[in-house]
Amino acid sequence: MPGMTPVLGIRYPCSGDTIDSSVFANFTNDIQAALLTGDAAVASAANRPAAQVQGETPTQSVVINTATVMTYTTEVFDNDDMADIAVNNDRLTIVTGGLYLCGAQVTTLTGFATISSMTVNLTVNGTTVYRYKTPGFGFGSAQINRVPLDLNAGDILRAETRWTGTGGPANLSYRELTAEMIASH
Amino acid sequence: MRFTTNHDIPCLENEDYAGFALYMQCLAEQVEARVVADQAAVTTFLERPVAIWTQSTVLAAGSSTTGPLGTPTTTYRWIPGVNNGTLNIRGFWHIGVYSNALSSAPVVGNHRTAMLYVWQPEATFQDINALDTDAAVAVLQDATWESNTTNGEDLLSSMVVYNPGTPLRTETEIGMQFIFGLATEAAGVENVTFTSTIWAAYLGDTPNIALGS
Repeated sequence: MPGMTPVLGIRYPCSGDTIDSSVFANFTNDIQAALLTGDAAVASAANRPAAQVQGETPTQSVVINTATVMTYTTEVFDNDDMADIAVNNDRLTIVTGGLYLCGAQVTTLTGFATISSMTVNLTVNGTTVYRYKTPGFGFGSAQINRVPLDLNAGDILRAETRWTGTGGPANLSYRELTAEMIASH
Repeated sequence: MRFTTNHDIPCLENEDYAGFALYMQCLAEQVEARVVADQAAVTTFLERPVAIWTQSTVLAAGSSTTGPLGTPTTTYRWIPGVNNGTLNIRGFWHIGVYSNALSSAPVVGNHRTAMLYVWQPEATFQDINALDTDAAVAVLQDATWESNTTNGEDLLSSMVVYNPGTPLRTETEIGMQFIFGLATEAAGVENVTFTSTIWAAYLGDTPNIALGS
């Protein structure tokens, strides 16, 4: 009657058992399975969920003093299926819950509006959780650089922008939204 | 039976043929122990301490406030130590502050400042009360300009700090304190509500470095 380790179930013969090639095969395969379990854990730690989407061309038009959800055209990186630009080009949908460092940034082109302030918001399921506003210098630029968010699977992360000034609409030449998990629940 | 020098992995010798069963049991148990230990290390790596505090404070014109951070509103395996604002594990921390300042009236001519201080421990550090507050260093500072009665104005800053520990104490504490103020340049009397988020997330220790030979 073979024995078995308590956690990973590696089978080994006990005293009096017949030891043939099948016993060695089970033993070897079980050890490989155990090592693969360890490999998977290490790979998971080294590749924590992270995604970034950005948009540059075409530009996104935003009218004056109106909070507007930013949209993206390019998936820069995504190892947890958080981005799906073909279906929803304005968001990252969290797949694995945990603590994330998130960020967003926006920049406008010059010449279409005179911008006196530029704001970028991070929203979770439609509620603003971080907001940053900067003065404009003809053009506008604002960013939220890596803030922590306690996110659950299914949460929708988006970024909004708003500008004040004259003229317009303003054309957003660069948009970016990022989320990277740093700790598990 | 012999054992390897580094990991004590058993190895049969010629006279151990009858000990196959015992050999395989020993090897299986050792492989399991190593893999389980590695899994635990990975779990520890992912389950790092994090604390997030939220506050809401109303300030009158020309005033400022400081104080303990109090109890975190969100924690991940946080080790509060003596004071909830202490970073009591050696290594790198990502710390930051976000504050939205919302005016009760559209009075212009004021600005807001937020600072996050990190205290260095004294050489004879015993507890939080012995921290050398004279040596407090503002590691983060941000300021914003005029009032806003609709969405408020925002302060946001973050950085990575390192808690060096000491040769005798690998878990030495450094303290964190949030200070924000409202300076009024005009004769305004409006109140400003500061809604703030402060955080500290442990990123990891530094590898041991041996100097000399």
